[in-house]
Amino acid sequence: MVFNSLAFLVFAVVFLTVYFLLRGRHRLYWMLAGSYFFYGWWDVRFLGLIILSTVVDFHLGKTIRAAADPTRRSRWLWLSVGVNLGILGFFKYAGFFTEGFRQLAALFGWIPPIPFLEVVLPVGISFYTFQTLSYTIDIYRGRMEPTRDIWCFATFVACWPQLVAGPIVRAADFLPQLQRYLPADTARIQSGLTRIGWGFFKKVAVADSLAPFVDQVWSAPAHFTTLNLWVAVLFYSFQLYCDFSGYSDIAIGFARIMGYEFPENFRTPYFSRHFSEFWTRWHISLSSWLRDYLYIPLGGNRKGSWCTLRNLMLTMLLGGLWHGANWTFVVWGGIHGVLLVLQRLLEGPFRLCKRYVPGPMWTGLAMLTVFLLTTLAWVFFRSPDLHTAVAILQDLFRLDGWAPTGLMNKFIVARGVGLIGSLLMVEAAAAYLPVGPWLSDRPFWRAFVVAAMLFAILLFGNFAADAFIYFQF
Amino acid sequence: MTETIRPRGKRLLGWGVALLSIVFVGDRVLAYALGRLAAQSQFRYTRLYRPAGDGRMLLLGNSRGLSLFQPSLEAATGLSTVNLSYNGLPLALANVLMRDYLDRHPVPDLLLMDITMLDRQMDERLVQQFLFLTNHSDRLRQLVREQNPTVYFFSRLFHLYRYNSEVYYRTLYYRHRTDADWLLDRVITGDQLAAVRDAPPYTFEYDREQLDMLAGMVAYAAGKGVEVRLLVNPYLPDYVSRLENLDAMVREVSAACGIPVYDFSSAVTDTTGFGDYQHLNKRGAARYVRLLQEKGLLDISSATSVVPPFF
Repeated sequence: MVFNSLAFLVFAVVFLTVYFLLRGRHRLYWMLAGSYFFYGWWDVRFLGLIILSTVVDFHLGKTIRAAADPTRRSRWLWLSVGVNLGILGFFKYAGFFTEGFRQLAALFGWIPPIPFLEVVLPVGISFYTFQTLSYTIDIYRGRMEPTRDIWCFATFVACWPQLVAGPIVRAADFLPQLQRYLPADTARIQSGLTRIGWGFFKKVAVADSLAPFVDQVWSAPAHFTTLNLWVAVLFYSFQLYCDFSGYSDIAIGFARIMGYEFPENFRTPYFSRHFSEFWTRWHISLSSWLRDYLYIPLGGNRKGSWCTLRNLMLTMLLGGLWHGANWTFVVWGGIHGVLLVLQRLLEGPFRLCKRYVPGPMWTGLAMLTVFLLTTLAWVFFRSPDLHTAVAILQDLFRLDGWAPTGLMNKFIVARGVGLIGSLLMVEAAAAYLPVGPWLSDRPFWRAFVVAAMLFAILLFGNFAADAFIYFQF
Repeated sequence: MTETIRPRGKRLLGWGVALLSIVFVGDRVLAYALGRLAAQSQFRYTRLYRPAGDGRMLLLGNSRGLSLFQPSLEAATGLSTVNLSYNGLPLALANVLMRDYLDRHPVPDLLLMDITMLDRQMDERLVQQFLFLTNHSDRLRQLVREQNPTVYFFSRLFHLYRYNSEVYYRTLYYRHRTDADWLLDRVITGDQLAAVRDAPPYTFEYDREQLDMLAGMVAYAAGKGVEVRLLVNPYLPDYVSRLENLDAMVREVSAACGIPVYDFSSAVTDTTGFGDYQHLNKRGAARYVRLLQEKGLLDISSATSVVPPFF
């Protein structure tokens, strides 16, 4: 079930009404039933995977805690990692790796007798796998106690607002929240609705309005002029951001209505002044997961500069691969790795330059540079293969094709630019002015804000669009 | 416990009522304002639904119908023209627009129609772009209701939703300017020409229902005393060979409608006359109008049957 569907509208109304009519643990059971229904709506067969992952990690969590011997604890942890990554690896990467192996073997003249694998990717598998992994790892590290309540744990794994596209929540943060049963709260519901409205504006009005232009250009890039390609590439940057952060906003909003607080997943990432800042503002729940469970265990920045750079590259490459079984994602991760490495290596010269450039100008230039390089890296993220990505990047730097008369559908472009402008203005206001606290004391004005978002969605929304981009990951 | 919940519930209910009131009142007020803003536009579809802009020559087609370039046609014939063509216009919508025009305005002398809008691959959802005009046309309202009852329902529930359309943006854009010169300026590039040579074959998708609808349109216009000319406007010559069933479609349309179809698909050979592989630019359109004139297809009161089919 996707948020931008009529089925979900009915589901949300029924679910929340019953949720607030129930008391105590009944809410937990209802939440779990609703989450399985939400997920099963897409394909009921894959519920088995979530349940398997839940049961295995619930028991392994307790076993790891109970094991006195560190070696045994470590073995149980590796079993948990093996099961989770095994499921993820099979469903997400089996085809990718067997094909890669086949191509490699072909170089040596050997055709290995491996069947072609076309495995259907279960929605959200990358997200809930990382959640359950963090649970057992945190128990192993002694950072949390295993839960004895399987219903609570199952709800943590399958909680519907964030099940298919995050934010990735940590058991230590979320399990205690699942055990408290708060009554309906007006302020929380108002705040949640505002957040949901903003999420839908980003998804339906901005991301889905930009998508047709982007899709058209990417379907046959050779047919379009340089100007159209630049517009499409810039539009994609905002489409992806609004699509994904819109989902997170909706998830956070629904959770807030029910009395849960999910971690923030985006903080105006295109206002970043350097690449390490970008990764503290973009898909925060994934980047912090990779930091805590990959970068730091690899040694982080504690083992000298060479190891730091290596760890950065490895983390970004694996982070890229997490997004999908395609070399385009690996290259995209690699580009970000290189940018992070370069940023570290050039820290001294940058500091020197900064002394001679006025502060606001430096900040503006830095933001623009980070945005443009990030946008160019998205070309790999969006393209179906490396060949297409390289062709688009080459065409972006052609000297011809800049005439405004060659611009495809000026009305759609003008609408896209207007929506992006509005988005940036609101985000800047929310980031630098105390809009949230001001609104929380003025429920009547909040109603106006929610209504204004609904009007914007009605006027600019694309209601014929597909699911969220991050569902495929 | 119940005492604390009740005031909280009342507060929430009060806020909900306030929100709904703002939403529904705001929706109606804003939609009314947007409607007023469009009312005096010079755009073709706003003019269609108000007593203005009568033309002696009516033009109809999808984006390729814009190749029937009004300024060139008016200069060549001295007749006023109205072009109801739109990008991707599906036949069902063209049917509604044509009938509405003929019922509301003095009957034109000549109707030129590009038959490639017969293609089923024209997106039928385009009718949703015309929602803001449904108050003016029962036919249009009926078409939306038949094609998408959900969209129809939401357009009744939220009036603002009707203004969520590119056609409405164009209506605002053409508020104080004419839309008669709506045609590409650009010239197809070398890369685009090369890409056309590798383009996959294209098959027009149409069925008996489409043919009958087109025949019904021809009969309706003829019944009002309009001379109807069915055309295939020019394609880039290299692309014509990719059109697999163009000849068959021309024959079937002609048989269904009982009048000839004039196939100009290969008539403009100069590639600088094209904006892309299926659209003429202004230069190409001027050349095309001269061709139409030379063949006598812009002459009024000449019976269609005396003009022989060619190309």
